[in-house]
Amino acid sequence: MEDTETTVRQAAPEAATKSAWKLTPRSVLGFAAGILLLIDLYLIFAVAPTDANLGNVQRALYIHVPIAIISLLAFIVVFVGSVLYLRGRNGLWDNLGVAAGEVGFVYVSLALLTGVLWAKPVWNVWWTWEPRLTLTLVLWFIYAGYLMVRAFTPDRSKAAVFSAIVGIIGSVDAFIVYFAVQWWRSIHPPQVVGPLAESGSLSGTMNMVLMFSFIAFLVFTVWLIWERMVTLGTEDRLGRLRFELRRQGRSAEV
Amino acid sequence: MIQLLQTGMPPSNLSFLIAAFVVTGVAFMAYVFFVFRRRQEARAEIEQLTRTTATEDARTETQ
Repeated sequence: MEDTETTVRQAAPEAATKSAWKLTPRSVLGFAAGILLLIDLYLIFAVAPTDANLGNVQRALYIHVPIAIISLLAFIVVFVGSVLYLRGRNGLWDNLGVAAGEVGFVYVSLALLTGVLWAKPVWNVWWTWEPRLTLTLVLWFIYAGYLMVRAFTPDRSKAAVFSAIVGIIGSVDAFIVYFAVQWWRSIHPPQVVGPLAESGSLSGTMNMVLMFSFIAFLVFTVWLIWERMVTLGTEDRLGRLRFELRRQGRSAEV
Repeated sequence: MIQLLQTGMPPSNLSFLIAAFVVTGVAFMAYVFFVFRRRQEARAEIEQLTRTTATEDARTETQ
């Protein structure tokens, strides 16, 4: 009987400890992200100058651009997590890929939504089938596919392998989205962030606010991925506990 | 806000700007809530399963 108790405890080491709020590097990062985002809001509305041509709606740039760039970066994390998982079958890399995939899905959805809300007053249309927009929509479908493969494959290890393959193939689109405005010049403006950004495309203050916004969102993203990984770890422990109880012929339902 | 008050901008533009920020804020808050709620549910279930198992084991031992 002691053996049984020990295995159950090993499967659920967290059960004995109540989840009390503690000062951890993760909570400090979350707090820092919150402060940075509040400062970012102040900079966007009180410091950044009003664009001479577009007016105040141009302030959407300070959230749209970082969100769009981070949605692409998240897919690079998915790519790294997927490759490392397929190489070593370590669940931690799989969790990193899933967490980045989920967060990336939120970001790419917001990139599309904020883009649509910006396009209407600036281009006078909600949507146009221009290369970058179309490829971003394709990226949204790839992210959705990645998460659906994950959710609907019954076997946990098979789900991890299948989604890792989708993650690796899908990351190609993330690169194409970034280079789209260089390869196919159209209505969408060129890059303002990254190696292909045209220098002087934004004024000094605008550029500073955009860079600050990018850093604030980046810190927030790292925190989000970290928190999601912790949740996935807890769900994994629950899965192991259920498996152990079923193996012993006991009820694994609450 | 100061910048918004200083310049006379068309109201339609302002509504698009506000919508973009509100949508972003709501989406992030909803996702953070989803992550924490799932973790809380998993932790509660782990705790309950462990407690049930321990009670069952204690009962078997006394028998």
